[in-house]
Amino acid sequence: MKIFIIDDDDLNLFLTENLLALEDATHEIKTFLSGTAALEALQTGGEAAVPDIIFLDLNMPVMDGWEFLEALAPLGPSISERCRIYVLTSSLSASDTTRSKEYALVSGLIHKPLKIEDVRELVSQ
Amino acid sequence: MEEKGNRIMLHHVLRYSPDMICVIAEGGRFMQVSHACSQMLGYTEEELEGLSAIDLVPPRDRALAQESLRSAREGNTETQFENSVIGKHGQQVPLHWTVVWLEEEGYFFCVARDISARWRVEKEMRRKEAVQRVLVDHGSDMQALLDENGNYLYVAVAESYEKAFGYRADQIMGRSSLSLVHPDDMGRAEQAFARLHQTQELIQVSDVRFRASSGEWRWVETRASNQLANSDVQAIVVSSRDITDRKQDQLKLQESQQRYRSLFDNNPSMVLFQDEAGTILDANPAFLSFMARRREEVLNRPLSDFLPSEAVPLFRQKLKEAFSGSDVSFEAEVIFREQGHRVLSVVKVPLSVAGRIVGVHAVIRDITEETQAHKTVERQAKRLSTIFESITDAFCTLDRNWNFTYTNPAFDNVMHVDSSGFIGKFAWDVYPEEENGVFHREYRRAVETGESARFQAHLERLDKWLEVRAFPSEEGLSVYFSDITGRVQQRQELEKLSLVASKTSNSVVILDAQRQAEWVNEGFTRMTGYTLEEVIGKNPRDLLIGPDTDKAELQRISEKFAEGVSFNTNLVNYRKSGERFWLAMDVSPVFGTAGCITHFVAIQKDITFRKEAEANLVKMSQALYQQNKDLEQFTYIVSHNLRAPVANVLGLSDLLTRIDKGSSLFEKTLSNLNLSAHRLDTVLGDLNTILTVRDSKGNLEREEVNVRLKAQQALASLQELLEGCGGTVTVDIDEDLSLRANKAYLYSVFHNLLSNAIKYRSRERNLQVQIKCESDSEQGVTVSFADNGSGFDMERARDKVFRLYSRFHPEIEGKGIGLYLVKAHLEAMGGGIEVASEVGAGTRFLIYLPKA
Repeated sequence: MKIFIIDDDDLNLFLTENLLALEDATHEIKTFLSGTAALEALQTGGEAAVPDIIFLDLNMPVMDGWEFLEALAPLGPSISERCRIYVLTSSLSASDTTRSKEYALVSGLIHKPLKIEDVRELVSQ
Repeated sequence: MEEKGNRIMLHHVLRYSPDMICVIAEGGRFMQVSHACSQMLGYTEEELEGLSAIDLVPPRDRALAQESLRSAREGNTETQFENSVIGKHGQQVPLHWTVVWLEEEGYFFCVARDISARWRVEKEMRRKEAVQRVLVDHGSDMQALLDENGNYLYVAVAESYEKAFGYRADQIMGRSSLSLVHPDDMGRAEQAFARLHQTQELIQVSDVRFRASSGEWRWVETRASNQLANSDVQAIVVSSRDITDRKQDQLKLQESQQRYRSLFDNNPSMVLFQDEAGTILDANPAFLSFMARRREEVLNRPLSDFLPSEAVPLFRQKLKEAFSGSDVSFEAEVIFREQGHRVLSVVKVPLSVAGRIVGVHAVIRDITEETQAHKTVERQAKRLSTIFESITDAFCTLDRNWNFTYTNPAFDNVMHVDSSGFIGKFAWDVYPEEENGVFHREYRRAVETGESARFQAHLERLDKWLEVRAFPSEEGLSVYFSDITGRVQQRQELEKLSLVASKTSNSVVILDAQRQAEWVNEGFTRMTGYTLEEVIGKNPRDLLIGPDTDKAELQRISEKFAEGVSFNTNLVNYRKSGERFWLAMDVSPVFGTAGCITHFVAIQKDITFRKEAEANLVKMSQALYQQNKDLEQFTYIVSHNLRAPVANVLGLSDLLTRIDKGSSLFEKTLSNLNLSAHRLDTVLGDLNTILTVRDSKGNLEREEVNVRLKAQQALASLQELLEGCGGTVTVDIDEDLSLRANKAYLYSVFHNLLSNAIKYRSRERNLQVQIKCESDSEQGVTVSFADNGSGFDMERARDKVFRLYSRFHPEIEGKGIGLYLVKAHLEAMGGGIEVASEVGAGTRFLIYLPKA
């Protein structure tokens, strides 16, 4: 399974990547420190580059999670048909949960840290 | 024997004499008659003898006969006379009588000769003369013989000719016939004369003018024949006729034909000549142009071909009427396809020749515009009249001599008169007591100055107050007036009331129904600066409103006035001095006895103080709202940033339990767990700092701080880093510039800004920073802090620049707290900060700090 993790927090990248690898070592995981970097990988890689799952942090400098989702919209069905996006945030704010539901691209919101049970459930879908 | 011979002879004479010999007795009876009587008169001798001779004479000749007989007897001489005698068969026989009276014998001896033949010849001669006369009179007017040079040899002139030309024959004799010819005709006359010499034929020259003795030129037609060679004549025979009358008739006819044609062709109206079937026999250019047709397209076609079908019956009917012999005129509204709606005035005149109508002339005039103009005039006249009638004020007009020329119905109502007899009457005869009074004086002034007059005056006769407006014009004066007795009384009453109102400290304004001030109290003057005199008769609103007055509220006020209800309002007004103030006003309508509004009373109060307090409250609540929003933001950010390391700690510690303790991943995870714990500690430390700053507001420790010194201290602490990257900093602040501030905060401001400048410097050039005092006033100081670093996108950063944990340079290590602190520190000291930046060019901060 192809997985993108987008977060400016290097410690969270380390944690999430290792947790996923621990569950299934065959996962092809790519980490991005900013939304712009991930967006560039999606735009230049074509359909082959589109992962099965994206874990997206909200609070990032320059381009936050929301802006990333906006930037993704023009790419259209190639994303929404092939890829599930999960917001992975440390925020416990209800307003973020509500807002995430407004984005059709977002499959769900997960509070950090990502837990092994979450991983099993997501991968099984 | 001799006697016997005499007797025989006598017998023969009596028997054979062709004359009738008779003896007539003294009494007039035939005694003896010779035989000739039977041939002459048809009587035998025996029939005549014994008859009275006078009985045979026709009555008209009897007197002559008796007279002749008497004269023969009395004069004793031979008498001759002629008369007629009636014969046996009634025929009249002219006789020549010779009568002798024989005294001795006592009888008349008469010889009568038949003179019928002589009479016949004489009569024939007279007839011939008369015929010639008639022929000359009725045939040629002048006959003449000319010699070979054209001089008159002989002239015979008819009476009429002589009269017309004024010459007698002997006056012309010997003169040249050409000498009387008109110069214009001379050529033709000479030509004809020349031809006479060449031919024997009869030559005719018509239309030559001859001069009459009066100098008038008369037209003459002449026939001439050369008879010089005829030995019996030896002259040129000329016969002329005066044809002036004919010629003049002819010329007149020509002229009238031309005149007709000219009238026809040049007539601006359309003219047609039609026969009984309506066929157009002739049409003038005006018609052709109206119909936009050529002549040949129109002639010999019925007029109906050129009319819309609905108009045809009318024109046909009118043509029929004209053919019945009468002139017809009518107007028709016709809608043509090309020309549109037209009003035509049509006159059809029958043309009668020898008692028969041979055609009809139709004169058609397009009177559309006239009709419209006429209608417009009519309409306007009507409107004007309606206006006069509908003037609800009493209204009259006077001419320049003070005579009434018009009064309307309201005039009678107000003046309690029947003014129907006023027209033409001298106004001061009708109202003698007003002569030289106020009305008279004001009217005169209006007429003399040409300016309208407006005044109020008391009319003694009716004990009424009138408000009058008089407008002078060329014709005189138009006067409008209305009864304001009630209003004047009310005003007097109000004046009493206002005595009470004057004692209150509030402003009181009394307006009339038209919202014009009738009275204001001293309170009004105190509040607005306007006195009663300045306001009276005006709408106070016009004096009091200004640029900050709420337009929508003014509109609402107008509506409330119009509705006639009580209302209150608060709005910005301006005093006479121009000073702005808040006015609270309660307005109540006052109703008159008739139930309609006569006045409004407004109670006003200056509420500027209250309004300002309100404005402060609004400002404060806005500040509070902002602070509250900031706080929300702060809480969100802090919770997020505080929870991020916590989440990591949780996750990493969980991971630790799932991996082999001897593996390198375990080591790495453990070290990351440690790092997370440190970050958590840092965030808590930041929080402490921030909360300290926020709490310091209001009870901040302040002292006199030298601005330049603080900037230099911050510079010194970062000297090593600056030198490391080759940066230079210039400080352009006056050495003495100081203000009351918190030392640590001001240091922190410079330190953070400088540290950011080094951190986010451009990799393409050496860093240059300029710190400069931009302005220094009593209120405060503005210092600019500008670098030539990498800058950022203002469009995207805008409101986030100074937000906590906002970062714009992900590739450079930073926590996103520096600028937040700078802003917080400055605001804690009552100052502020703004930023302008451009990617690749640099960033410029403007710092503001108050002096105290």
